[in-house]
Amino acid sequence: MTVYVTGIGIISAIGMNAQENFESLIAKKTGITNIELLKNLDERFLAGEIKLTNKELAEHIFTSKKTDLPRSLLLSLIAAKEAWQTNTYNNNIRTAFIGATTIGGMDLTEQYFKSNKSIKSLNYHHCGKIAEYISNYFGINDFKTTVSTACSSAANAIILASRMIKNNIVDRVLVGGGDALTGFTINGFNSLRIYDNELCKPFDKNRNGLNLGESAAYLVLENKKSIKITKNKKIVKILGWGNANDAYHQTASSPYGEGAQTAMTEALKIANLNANDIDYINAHGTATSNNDLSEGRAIESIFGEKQLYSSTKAYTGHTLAAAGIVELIFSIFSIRHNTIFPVLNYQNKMKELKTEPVYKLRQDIEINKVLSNSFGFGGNNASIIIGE
Amino acid sequence: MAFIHNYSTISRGDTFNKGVLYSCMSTNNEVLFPNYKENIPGINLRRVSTIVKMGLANTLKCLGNKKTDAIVIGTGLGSIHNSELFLSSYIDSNQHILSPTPFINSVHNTISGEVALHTQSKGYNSTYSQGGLSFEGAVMDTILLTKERKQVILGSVDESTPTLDTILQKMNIQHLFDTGSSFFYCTDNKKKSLAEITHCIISTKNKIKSILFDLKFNINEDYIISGNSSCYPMNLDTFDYSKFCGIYMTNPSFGMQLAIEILNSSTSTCIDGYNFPDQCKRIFIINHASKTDIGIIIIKK
Amino acid sequence: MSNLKKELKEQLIEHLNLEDLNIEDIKDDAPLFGEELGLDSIDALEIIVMLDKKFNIKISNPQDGAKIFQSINTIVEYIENQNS
Repeated sequence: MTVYVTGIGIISAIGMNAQENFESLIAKKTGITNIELLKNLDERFLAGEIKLTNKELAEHIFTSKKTDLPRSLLLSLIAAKEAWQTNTYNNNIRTAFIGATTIGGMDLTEQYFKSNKSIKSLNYHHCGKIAEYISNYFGINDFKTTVSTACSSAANAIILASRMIKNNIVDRVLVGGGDALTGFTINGFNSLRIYDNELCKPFDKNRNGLNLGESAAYLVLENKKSIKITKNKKIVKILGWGNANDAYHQTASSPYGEGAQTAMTEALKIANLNANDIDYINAHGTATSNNDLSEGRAIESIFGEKQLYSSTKAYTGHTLAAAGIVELIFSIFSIRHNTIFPVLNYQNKMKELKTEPVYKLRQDIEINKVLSNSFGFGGNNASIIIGE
Repeated sequence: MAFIHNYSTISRGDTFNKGVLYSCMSTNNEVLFPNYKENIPGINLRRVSTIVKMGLANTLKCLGNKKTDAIVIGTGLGSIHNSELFLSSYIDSNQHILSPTPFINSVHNTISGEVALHTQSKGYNSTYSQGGLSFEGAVMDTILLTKERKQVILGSVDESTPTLDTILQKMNIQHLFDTGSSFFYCTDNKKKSLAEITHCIISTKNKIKSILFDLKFNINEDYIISGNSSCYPMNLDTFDYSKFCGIYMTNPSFGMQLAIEILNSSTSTCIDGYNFPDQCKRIFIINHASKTDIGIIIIKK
Repeated sequence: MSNLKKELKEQLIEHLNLEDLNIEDIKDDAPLFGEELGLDSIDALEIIVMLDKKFNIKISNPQDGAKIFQSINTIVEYIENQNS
């Protein structure tokens, strides 16, 4: 049973919707700047911040003033609406909602503890509230859940959605992730000393850590039966997926990226493809010392010395639970426009790798099949392959 | 479908050593934690959070000397304790240099990650956090995984803290949360299994009658249990087990072990005056997750 | 054992939650990140936090930790150098 992507929606620091995101990528424009809206941080941090207050975000969605919702939910509603478009509830289409988030309503929770705001805001604390709200908003009732596996959450959400469709449990899934910037996550990654105070440099010899970003990104996945009814246009297919655990350390990846290798290999196997069939890899590429080395080696061990990977995290920042779908959407752009978006801020080759990432915009090759990686804490490795 | 071969629960009373049914036969108010040093050999427990210890102890008990190639866990609130610690470290105090340990331990998939690390399980790994439906998400994935011929560790953990209690009281929420964890070892092999998970459904309350009809609910053979029927009551004859484990978002997992033990009992079972006769074939664990949502897990002998 | 060494060991045990150890168990020149204590990269970060909080010593580059944290002796040496 083939899984088709028929809807995409995204809001990030480089655009309010898919088209704007694409235009920024083509123009090599980064959305990473000094944080302005998020208050009470002890230091100056760079991040992919969406320069809209919660009030302004809410105005994009609601006619009445709704400023009491968590920021991740507001972002998610905007992206979900763009993806969902003209889909409606239909008795004959079994529809599920699968969400992904790391912080849930933590932005409101930390405000509560900081300044004793309304205790009612704690109602939104847990990770499942976004899924509850959005399912209700769109009338999606046949199944709902939320994946929370840190930076690989959205990728794992797609993997669950694809398997539920493949196994004929549902026909259509609205699947997506959303994580806003919070003091919690910024301070958290900074406490691990992996937060760069300059613009991040994925796969560069002198890389110094990540910059966070906020985003929400959603897809609509359907099977043929659903598409026959909805008449939605097929965008790409989800061809394969892999999920494997590194089992090496609580936060760090193994030196040669064993878990990453297994995840990518599994995805190729399910997609019934060889390494040679992959035209581009959108790497996890967070620009931490550990990830890029581990992932770079893992990619080379499977794909050899072809220069076919880049990371787009220097455009949007690391968007945590949304990253897997943000980057899958960018991979869809790659296929649609036969383009590879280069890494930004790249100057020096990593000595441990034989290859370099793509560091110039490439529009001279045909891109048909793309593999996208998302690796999280807890040794969680997820890879997804898409194609036409 | 998913066949359950082993289980383990940490809850009120000595469920870890004596099972859930045994502890339901007496009154226990305190959660009894196993001796972690004995039950998690070789581990450096010093940096490990309570919920991870519970998950690890339960996993090792379920696995015995078997292997697992998939780990799926549900948690409603994750490590509340570590979230509180990290929040207070950057909010109240004027610390500019923060300890990373509570941050790492507050991440929801720490449990599944540590379980994989300690058992060196390099296969599939995921974590579900959907409030009152968190365990059901993990069960759904388990059903898919066993179809994919994996040997699965399925589990849930939730903890409560004094700060959480205070907050719930201030919010006028009628019940406080408890701490509890249940784990299961599931495969696609029916032989020597204890029970089968035949369905995992998430839907809305208004559809429950039609769902039960579609599932051919038979009042003479099928029984309903619930861990939170008092929250949003329904007009169905239900045995509520929350008085034995307390209420927490993932307590349907406690219900699952209870269901397995009842179905494997050689005689009829009477708990607190409620009778499960010998001819009981299926147990429906109905979870009133919110005002509108329900989760239904069906366990069959 | 000097006061500084004693205090350092006590703080290490408390901050890293090394419940099973007493100060006598930590030898002055034993490698902290070797087989015996089993400390890892996260512990190194925690030691940086502890030195800042309890000894007012700041280590701005965590990579320096590898050299400084080799043993109790090397940490003490570093603290004494910073204070003089």
